[in-house]
Amino acid sequence: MESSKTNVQQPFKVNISKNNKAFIWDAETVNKLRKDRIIGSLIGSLPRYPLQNQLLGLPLSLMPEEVTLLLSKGIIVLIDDEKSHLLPTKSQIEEFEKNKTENEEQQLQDYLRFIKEKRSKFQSLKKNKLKKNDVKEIENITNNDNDHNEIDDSCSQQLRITEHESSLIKAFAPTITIKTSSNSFEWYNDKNYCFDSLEVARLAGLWTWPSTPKEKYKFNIYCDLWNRGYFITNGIKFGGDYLLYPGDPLRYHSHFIATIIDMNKELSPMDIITFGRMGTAVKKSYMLCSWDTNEDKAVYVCIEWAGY
Amino acid sequence: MKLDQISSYCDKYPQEASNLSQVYLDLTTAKSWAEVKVKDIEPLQRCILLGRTSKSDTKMIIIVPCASNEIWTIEKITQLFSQLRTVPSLLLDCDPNNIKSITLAIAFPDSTVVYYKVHDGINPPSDN
Repeated sequence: MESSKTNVQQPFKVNISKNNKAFIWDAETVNKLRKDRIIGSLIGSLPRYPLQNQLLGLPLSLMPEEVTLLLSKGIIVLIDDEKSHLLPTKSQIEEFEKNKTENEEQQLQDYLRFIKEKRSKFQSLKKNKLKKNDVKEIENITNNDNDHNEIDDSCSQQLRITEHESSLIKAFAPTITIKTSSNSFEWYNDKNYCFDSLEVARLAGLWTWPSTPKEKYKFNIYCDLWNRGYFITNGIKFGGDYLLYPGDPLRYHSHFIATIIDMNKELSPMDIITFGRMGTAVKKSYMLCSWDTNEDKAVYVCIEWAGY
Repeated sequence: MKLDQISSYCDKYPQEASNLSQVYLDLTTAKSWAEVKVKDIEPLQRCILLGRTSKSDTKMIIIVPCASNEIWTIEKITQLFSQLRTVPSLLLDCDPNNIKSITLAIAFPDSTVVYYKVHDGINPPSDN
């Protein structure tokens, strides 16, 4: 088990996957980034609750805007995830397998001991002549045959226990733990694939966002909104680019659905009706954002249904 | 006759005539607004309406009639605001520099008119 009190400091590590997605695999980092108003989005399934997506866990996925902003401020460094995972050596593999087998054996012994303790508890309760209902509960756990004579031949009892035990061993399924972070693996080394600035990351070909003019002005607008103090998350649930919150999303509802469009993007009145009606129906303001290249600033227009 | 007030403007801007008359009739008769005035905004080559929903309302609402097939862009919206701000204050009964929002009145061929507020800048929702 990894230490839970690591006190991780800036700059935080962000792993960039082979397909250019940014992930954070450390829970403390996720927590600390909220102080910089970066929320991201948890995308990991929870092993014990797989068939739902209301509650998800690590890793945290960051939007490209968030990565570029944080990197430009030196709050994070980027790790080349693929290159940091080296091929394990033969001895490393053997060591890993050995630990795995030992762990599974330990789990099996713990389980058998648990069953034995339950059985002896049942025996002592039977001697104290408890009500049949209480006994039945423990019976189900120990799988003891109730029809047998109470005073049993100790030899045949021993034989039955051994047979029972071997069937338990066959049926036992050990828990396999898959580590969230690769830090503890001996074949993981991120020291040589760590990038601390936009220029360095771009040169290495690891992180090139923004590159197109549209991405560039999208980033300008994102920065402008972030600088105004908003908490910004993905707006896909409401059909926009971003959702803007006046405070932490755990405490507030979002006030704005922000969509970024070109200054000359043609909007029909139907579009205005669509934005206005939807925004007002969910108690938010639909905000159209644009970058004025002549004046080098962001332009915002909010649309609201007028209930006349 | 209600339309007498606006007939001269309809002659001046024939493209906008049907939208203007539709919105004007809607506000005065269907919505029963207390006060509706027509203002000619030459830089925009169209008329706008200044209205008040009831006698007790202090603020005049700027209504911009438009057709259901009229194309808008962010550029056009910002120009609308900047042109309105150049209009002399006497004409608009308010300080033109303070104009932060207008109401777009979209008129459809079946005589439906829908009203949507357009705010210049960041404007939080009124009911959150």
